[in-house]
Amino acid sequence: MTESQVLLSLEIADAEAMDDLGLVLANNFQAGDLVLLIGPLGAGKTTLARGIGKGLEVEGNVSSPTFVIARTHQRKGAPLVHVDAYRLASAFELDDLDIPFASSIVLVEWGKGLTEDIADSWLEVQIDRDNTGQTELRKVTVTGFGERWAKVKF
Amino acid sequence: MYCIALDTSAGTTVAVLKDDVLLVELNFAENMTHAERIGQALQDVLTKSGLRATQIDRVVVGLGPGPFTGLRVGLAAAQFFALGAHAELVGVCSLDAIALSFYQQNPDAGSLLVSTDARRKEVFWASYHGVSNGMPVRVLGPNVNKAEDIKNYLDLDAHQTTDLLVTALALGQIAFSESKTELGVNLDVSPIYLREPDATPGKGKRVSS
Amino acid sequence: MQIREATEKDLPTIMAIELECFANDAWSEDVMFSELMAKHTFYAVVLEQEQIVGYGGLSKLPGSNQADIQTIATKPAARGQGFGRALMNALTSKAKELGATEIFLEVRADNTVAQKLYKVFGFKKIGVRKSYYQPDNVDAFVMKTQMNYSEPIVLGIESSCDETGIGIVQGNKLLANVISSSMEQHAIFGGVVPEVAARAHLEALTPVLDEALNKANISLDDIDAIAVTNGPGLAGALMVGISAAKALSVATGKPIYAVNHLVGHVAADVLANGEVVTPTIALLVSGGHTSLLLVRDLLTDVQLLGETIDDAAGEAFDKVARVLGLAYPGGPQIDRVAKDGNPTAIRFPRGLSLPKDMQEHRYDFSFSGLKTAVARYVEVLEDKGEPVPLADIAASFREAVVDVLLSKAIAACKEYKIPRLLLGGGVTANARLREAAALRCEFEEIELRIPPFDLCTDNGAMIAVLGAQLIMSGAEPSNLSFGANSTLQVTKVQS
Repeated sequence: MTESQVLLSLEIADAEAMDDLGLVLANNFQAGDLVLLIGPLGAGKTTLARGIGKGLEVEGNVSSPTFVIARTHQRKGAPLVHVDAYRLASAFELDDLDIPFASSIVLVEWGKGLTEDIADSWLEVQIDRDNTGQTELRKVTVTGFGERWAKVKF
Repeated sequence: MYCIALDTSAGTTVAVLKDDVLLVELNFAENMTHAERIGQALQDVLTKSGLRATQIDRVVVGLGPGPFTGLRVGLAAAQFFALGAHAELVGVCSLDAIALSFYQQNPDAGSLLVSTDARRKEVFWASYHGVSNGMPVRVLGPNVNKAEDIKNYLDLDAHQTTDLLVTALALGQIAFSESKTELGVNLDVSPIYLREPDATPGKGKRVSS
Repeated sequence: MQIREATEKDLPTIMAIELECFANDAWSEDVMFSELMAKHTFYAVVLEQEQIVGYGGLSKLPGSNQADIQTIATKPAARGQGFGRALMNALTSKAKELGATEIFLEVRADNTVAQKLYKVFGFKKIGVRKSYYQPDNVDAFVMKTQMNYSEPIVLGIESSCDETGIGIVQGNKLLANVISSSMEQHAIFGGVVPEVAARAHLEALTPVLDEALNKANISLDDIDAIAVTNGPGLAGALMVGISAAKALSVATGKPIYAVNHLVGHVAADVLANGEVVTPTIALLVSGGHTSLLLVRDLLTDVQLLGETIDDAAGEAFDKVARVLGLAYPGGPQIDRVAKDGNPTAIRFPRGLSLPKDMQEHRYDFSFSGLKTAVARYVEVLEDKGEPVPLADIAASFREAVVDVLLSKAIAACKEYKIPRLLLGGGVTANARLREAAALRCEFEEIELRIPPFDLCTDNGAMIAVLGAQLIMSGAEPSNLSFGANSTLQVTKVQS
């Protein structure tokens, strides 16, 4: 079991706030980072990914890669690889994509459970919706797994 | 006969041979930029050899095994180069080329295990026992297994290993040698993937929890 | 400024300038006279206020595809005013008219001003004649330019997603368009699996090429150039087409043009209608793309007005189809089920259409909220154990997609005052989209163009014709080092 700790826990009121959170997270990313975005359909994973893309100043629009599964965005420095594992069932499928993990920043939507076999460290961003369906509030929990995230503070 | 050989199962290696003699070879170690390299590499070996593409009689391509994306670059390029140059297209297992290079440097060696990284903590491998008519004799493989499982197939202690990489020259030499045998060259240029795309039909996902 | 063909009467004036410009190298009057009068030459003079200030001459033998610029000169006092350029224009146009595909010339090695002018017209130094100019003992540079082909035969290769397309055009004329789709292989996975697509491309390459050459009734030796999609799309898939195209370019010695997939979709209209009338708004809708473009010039001025910020429209169809228990691909399934449904039964959200979106996302699309709304609608009914009205849901969902696509496209036409809308991409197969587009465009007096389906879906012919347009405009071929760019911007037509 990889060691983990909760690095951040907050409430997000709307898409704009989610976007801002993306900027905050992006500030801490570097080549070799693997970030999982976890949450149900419509939770705001892609919105968050967009904010991260903006923070990293990537080329091209960050949009849902469900269709293409993975999309690479060039930028000054390590490229951002935005993956949608919606249609992947195992870590090996992720591996099949031949993504150069070590030299990229990899964001995986729907990635829960797919990374333990292929990485030693990763970040999980869990987005939960309001179950009562009464508000559009999101609860976001950021958990770091492994050494890379052991001492990180957002 | 003039031949262009190429392989993108690891890095990018391209060569022009006259029969089994090397005229020009270009090698690039990085394994992430095959698609960017392959065009200029082909152009450069031709230019350096002083030949026109139409003088090329045969194209020899490494069939893998190797990481799929890079492997396909060489195979696609070989197919269309052969068509454009009106040349014969021949395939050779990339691991065999490594074995040939090994035995050329170690002519008295016995059994050899060639293995290359297949990710997922596995290796692509094949085993050989000496040479016949100058060409390595493949005993087992190519297969893909976890490294620690290979001992179930052969006696590891009895096999030497090697760090040598595949070269286009070796590919070309194998094809040339094969052309002199009764069986002839291998015209089946299907890639040696050894793995199915590990895609599984997905399940639907709920919106509300 | 005036340009006209030179006549015998111009000889004295021409000779005066000849002596002024060329001193030791000057032609004699006899030589100049024979040149002017020869059948296979064309001489022009450029005038300023009815005075000849320069002249130039071209030689082209009948039956040859090569022409030579024999001479070109401007009076020293009149230099730097564009007369040289005007003469070059006249001569190169004449060469093209006469059927030349290559033009040669010689220039003194020390005449950097002239060399600069020639480079503007695409001339490149190909050799040196040592000590050519006597008695000054100056070398001559031999320069050559490849003419704009008037109707190049271009082979186009497309492998950006799950369709392997190879098309052949001759200028703007379609000779062959062959497509091999791996869609069925992806069906059980609910969408395109990059590895499956890439494997399929490799297998399909040669058969598709053979079929295309057959249909066009040509051989590889007949092609003038190769065009290939280098983005946007699936990287692994793109690499297959790119590698094949590069190798073909090297093997045949023909130039290669790396082009943009989305601009290719716009160029498809050239094959359908003979040209892309610009400016035009273009709405491209497929499984992987939903983009709204403003095209002022197909080759040099394509702008992205907006695109999806989450799912592409085709993707939304696929996802909703799955929610409704239908097969992949979702579009045709939803169409089938929606036939008996009421499109106004349920008002599903039209993404990014609120007043607050008009600022930042005016022409962007969002289908994620729509998809979620449909999924939730179905889940609520299922949880309650109530029947799910598939037909109404399908029809209402489809209506929401079509509505937002067309509303934004038409709004763009109005804002930019461009009464033309071009549709492209695989989703144009959707009957409701075509029907609604026709109705709404007619109402708004917008000219609607939808190419035939084989040119709308991913295909190689659109890539070939885009390549042909580039060649005919004099664009330089691409360098061999381009790679696959999965997020290539629409503003980059050629890489």
